[in-house]
Amino acid sequence: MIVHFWKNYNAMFRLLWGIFIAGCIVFLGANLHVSKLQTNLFELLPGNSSDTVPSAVLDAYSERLSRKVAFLVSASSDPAAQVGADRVHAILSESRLFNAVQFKITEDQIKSIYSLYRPYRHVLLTDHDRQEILHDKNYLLNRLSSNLASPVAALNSDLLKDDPFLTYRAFLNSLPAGNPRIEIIDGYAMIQESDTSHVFISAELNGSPFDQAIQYRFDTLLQQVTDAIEPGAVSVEAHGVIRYATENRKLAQSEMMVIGTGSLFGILLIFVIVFRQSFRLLLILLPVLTGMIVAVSVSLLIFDNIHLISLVFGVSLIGVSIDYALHYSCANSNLTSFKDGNSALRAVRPALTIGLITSIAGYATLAMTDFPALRQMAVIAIAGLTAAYLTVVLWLPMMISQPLVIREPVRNLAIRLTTKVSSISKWPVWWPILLITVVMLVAGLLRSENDDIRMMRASLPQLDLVDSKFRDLLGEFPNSQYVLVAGDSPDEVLERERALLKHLRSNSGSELSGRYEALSDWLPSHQQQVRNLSLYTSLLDDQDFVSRFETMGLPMSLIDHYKTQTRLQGTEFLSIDRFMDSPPGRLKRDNWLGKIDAHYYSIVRLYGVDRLDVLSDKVSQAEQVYLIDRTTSISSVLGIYRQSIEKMFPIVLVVIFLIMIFRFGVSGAVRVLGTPVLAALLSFLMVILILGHYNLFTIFGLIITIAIAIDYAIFVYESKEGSSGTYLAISLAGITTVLAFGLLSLSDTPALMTFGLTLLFGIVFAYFLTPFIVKQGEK
Amino acid sequence: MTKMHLTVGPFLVSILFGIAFTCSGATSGSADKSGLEALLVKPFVRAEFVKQRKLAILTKPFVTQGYILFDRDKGMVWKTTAPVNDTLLITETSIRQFDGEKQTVVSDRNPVMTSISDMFLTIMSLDKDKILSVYELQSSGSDKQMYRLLPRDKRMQSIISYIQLVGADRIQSIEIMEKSGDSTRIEITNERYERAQLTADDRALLEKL
Repeated sequence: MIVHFWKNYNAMFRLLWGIFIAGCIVFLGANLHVSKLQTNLFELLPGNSSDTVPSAVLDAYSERLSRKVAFLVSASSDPAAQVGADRVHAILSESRLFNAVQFKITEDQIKSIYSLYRPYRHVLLTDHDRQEILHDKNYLLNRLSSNLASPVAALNSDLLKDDPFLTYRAFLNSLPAGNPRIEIIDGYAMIQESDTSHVFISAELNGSPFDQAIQYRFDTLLQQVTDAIEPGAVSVEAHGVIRYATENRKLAQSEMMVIGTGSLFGILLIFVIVFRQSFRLLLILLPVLTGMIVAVSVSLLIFDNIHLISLVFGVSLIGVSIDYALHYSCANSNLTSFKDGNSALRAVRPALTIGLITSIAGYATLAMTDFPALRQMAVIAIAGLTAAYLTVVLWLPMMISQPLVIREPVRNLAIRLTTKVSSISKWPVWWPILLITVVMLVAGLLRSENDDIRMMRASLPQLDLVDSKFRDLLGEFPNSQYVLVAGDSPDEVLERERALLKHLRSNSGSELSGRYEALSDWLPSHQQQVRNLSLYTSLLDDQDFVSRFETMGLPMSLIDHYKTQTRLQGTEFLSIDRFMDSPPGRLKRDNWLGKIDAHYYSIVRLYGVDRLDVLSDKVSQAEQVYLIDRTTSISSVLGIYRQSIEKMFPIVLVVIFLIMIFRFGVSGAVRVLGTPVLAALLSFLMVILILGHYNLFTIFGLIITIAIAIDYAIFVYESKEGSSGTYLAISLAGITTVLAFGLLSLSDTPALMTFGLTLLFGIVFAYFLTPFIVKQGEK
Repeated sequence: MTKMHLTVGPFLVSILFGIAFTCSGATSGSADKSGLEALLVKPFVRAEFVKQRKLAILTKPFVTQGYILFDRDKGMVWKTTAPVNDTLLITETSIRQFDGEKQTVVSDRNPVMTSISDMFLTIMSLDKDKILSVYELQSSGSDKQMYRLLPRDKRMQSIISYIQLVGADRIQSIEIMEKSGDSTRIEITNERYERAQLTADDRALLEKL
């Protein structure tokens, strides 16, 4: 009756579990959307660390910048380069891939700039003129005299009528010249070398460079451009984020194809080689599948969105759960004496349960940190592993009830392996402790962390060459860093920007070199325009000034006319809206972010600024001005996570150790936990010796190593002495892990390579150390 | 990623000045070159000047005095001594103001200023071939002491009507008549032809070029 009751009870749980899984699938169907996937690395920071500047502001600018593409058309002469540029421009315009293509500077464009400023010339003064006037009220007249005296001043009556004090001319001359190496020749932006002429074309994509559709179209466009130009005579290079994004995608896809296919094929092949009823082995993947479904569902329920890093790492942890199914399958096989799935399950359930409990305890400890990603990883791992466990315990005995048949050669090999392992003398319990201590000391001495995100991206030498070519030609290159200026109004932003630039430029040539590009170079703030008007008015009302003006031979009518004009200026000032709507304003779009979340923001771009520490120091003295260095910030986020995990993990191990003491006693716990810890430390040492440094991805690999190796140790400890199924299962688990993750060590992406290499060494060490440290059947 | 910038200021000033950007070859007839040769035979290294700048808008000409130092290979120093004290260093590539201690670039990319400085350097070089390659020589009436030069370059044609050189065996005056009706007249006196005749200060100034 009890058996009958238990069977019904079990059946009810199986049904409930099936309903739960179905519910998760429905939930995912309704809620899983790409918008739920968080990719902003700054969201990984705990608390309000990322709130100094709203991420929307930085994302807006990064998005805009990432759409820029520069083309370089080169030929042996100016005309040939210009003809080539004409052809390229035609193709770019027809492609409908770009919002804007900056190609030629026409006289009409330049005249439109003049038309913008002319009505406001009475409120436009350069900083230099303003300072000089305040110092000496006769400055303008002195300058006028010098110009009249000069044989080359290009001064005529028409000019003087419009601009008697030459302040407007000075203002126009002060507008930024941009890169000093670029010249406008016949309207084309060109750089001339001794034997080569280059034309620059800049364009802005009308979509994200990370959009695959855009990338495909861009690839097609590049091919069209190559086909259109004269080979050998004209060359075209393209530079921009889209090139790197495309190549990285291709690399990732290629690796996924090779490594992913290789892994899957290898795993299936192993299963086919080992088991006779191979098709049923697809059921072995069921716990992993249900684990992922439940993990993502629970995560979305708790957090509303999941960070990409949490998802990738969490899913990797769930992949470990294939070991649960493998242990069950090997127990329920012709290697053991169990008659059916339930009996096999009863044998392995204690080990499965201990393995799950220790994992949950470990990840639960990680979840107690302030770091959002660690909490998410912990939830994903706990939910996923629990789901995998329940699937194995509730469903596999029903789905794979009859013992699996292991092929004879493999069976014999497993028996011989088990015999061999059993005959190995186990090390005394203090050996693992000693070895751990020694390896820890050595690793501690050699350890060298490198959290720089740039070290983690794939090397693309062809694109790096193009990058170098652009840098060499331009002589300077835009920094990836920039300065963000915030304010409650556009005017406040412009005033702050102006004050900052004055401070930075007055220090140029000393310890701070480089060029700055800012909106306030083109548009004085409203307050500044008002001050300029006031200064003009005060000069024109000064009798001495006016008398001297007349003495120089200039007519009073000119002064009167100018006075009238300044009075008429009244409230007519050049506004931000008017400016941004004009041709020069459209060129400066990248320097103005506008209003985001009730504040206004502008960007000061940096070119060739190398002393960022000095710049950072100066920027920090200004109110609501920030030096943004996303690359360094991202690197520091990764570093913070690495350090946090390094601090937390010993605590995690202590918690697991204490739990193990209840089951295995102190000596047993030392052996069971000591093996994975030693394997992980040895792997860590190998990675440092081979790569010279380690990073967050190394730590991820070590965590998974320990998670897998703990299961090895627990299963060996909990299994009966001489049980061949255990070592077969561990061998299969090791091989599948190597195939699934270890092959990542072949990746060209350093982050993945580090992760894969760490796991590869870790699993190998764990596999070979376990027989020496953990005795089968000791429980 | 790169961003292109305009060398805006100088081009805008050119527009103020009403310059056309197109260039074209210019053709014209020839005139009495032999008289011109005689005028151009002795390039000076130093000369004093009185310059009258007549602008239609001014109530009177703006008169300045000073001296010129000329080096055929390097360029020209234009030193105004009255009513303002100003020193300009003019070469083919730049125009700089010198205040005795530091040099300030006036404008090295302004096409108008560059054109005008080129014009002066060409005239002052007294290199007949160079002058005739840039200007067409037109006789002015029957007075063979007056030589009228018309610019061949279209950009200069839009600024300058003609340049008139007056003198027999030396240049006595240069008059530049502009299309706008403004003009400049430079009377040259007290020429010196040997570097040995220069003072130490003059030589030091020439070194600044």
